[in-house]
Amino acid sequence: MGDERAEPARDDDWAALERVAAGDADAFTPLVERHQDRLVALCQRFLGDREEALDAAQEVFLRVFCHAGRARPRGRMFTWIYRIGVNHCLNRLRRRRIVRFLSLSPPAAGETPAIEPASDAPGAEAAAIARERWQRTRRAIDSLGANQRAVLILAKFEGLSQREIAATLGISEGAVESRLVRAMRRLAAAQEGAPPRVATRRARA
Amino acid sequence: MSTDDDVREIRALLAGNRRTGGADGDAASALERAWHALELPPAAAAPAGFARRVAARAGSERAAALGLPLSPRLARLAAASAVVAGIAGGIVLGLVSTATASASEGVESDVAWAASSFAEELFDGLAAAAEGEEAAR
Repeated sequence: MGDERAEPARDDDWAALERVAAGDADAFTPLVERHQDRLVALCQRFLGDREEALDAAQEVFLRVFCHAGRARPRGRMFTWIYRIGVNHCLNRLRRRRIVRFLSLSPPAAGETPAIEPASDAPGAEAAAIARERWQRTRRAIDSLGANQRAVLILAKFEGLSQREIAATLGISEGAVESRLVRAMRRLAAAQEGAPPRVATRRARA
Repeated sequence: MSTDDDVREIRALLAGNRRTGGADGDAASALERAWHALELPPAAAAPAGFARRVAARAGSERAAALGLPLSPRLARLAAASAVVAGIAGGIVLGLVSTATASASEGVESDVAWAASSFAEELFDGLAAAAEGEEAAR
């Protein structure tokens, strides 16, 4: 993963998790503190809503806590947390889609959560332009299905390589490539005002 | 991932896709433009106290989870003590009711005795009166 390549290996994370599994609940707090920002950011990119992202991140950490005794220390621990987080967010997105389908109502125009401009934005005009750009990106991401959205977010905003995305999602690198290109085609078509072009047979399916 | 890496990666993807007949040059440029247009705000850090709240909730859920396997034993203990309490209560109630019954039996026998002695006295009185009448004749 992008950031992980630069960081030294944190084997103490696994040691801390072993202590948690042995009943030392106090060892869990520093573990959460170490990974909370990245996990909350990941959830926010997937779900688009800050409050829901915090809720999702909390559930992911609870899952980590519950599975502490069954976790097999292999590789970086955040990769494991990441995988749980991505799956959890995908499940939430699917649930959201089912609820929307059952409610038989199209997504409301204002459903995309409002994005506040960054505090360091230089001036109101720049902030408004940035916000508009972010809102557009958010709407574009929300228009994608869960699988394409996952690949796009992991590639573009989380900076994962194709191989890492494949490992995180449990799919082949070819599937990552195909989903990413299809997602990008869809977004490009939406940007240029044309209907999304579907090139592959799998995409049609 | 830096911008250069972004461009390199998406170009590599598009090149791979071109080989499979997916995208032509214009489409590739459109994809690149779409890629660069994607932008989200920097994600804010988790709020203060988030880790403590999560750890507290995890601790309470663990306590609840640990309580579950214990509950059959607790249930058995509760059932056993209910049986013991029932037996003890039954014995006490039995003793109390026996005492009450014997007490009320005593009252009844006293009443019965009183009633029979009154009747006997009445009969005796009547018999004596009848005997006195016959003797007077």
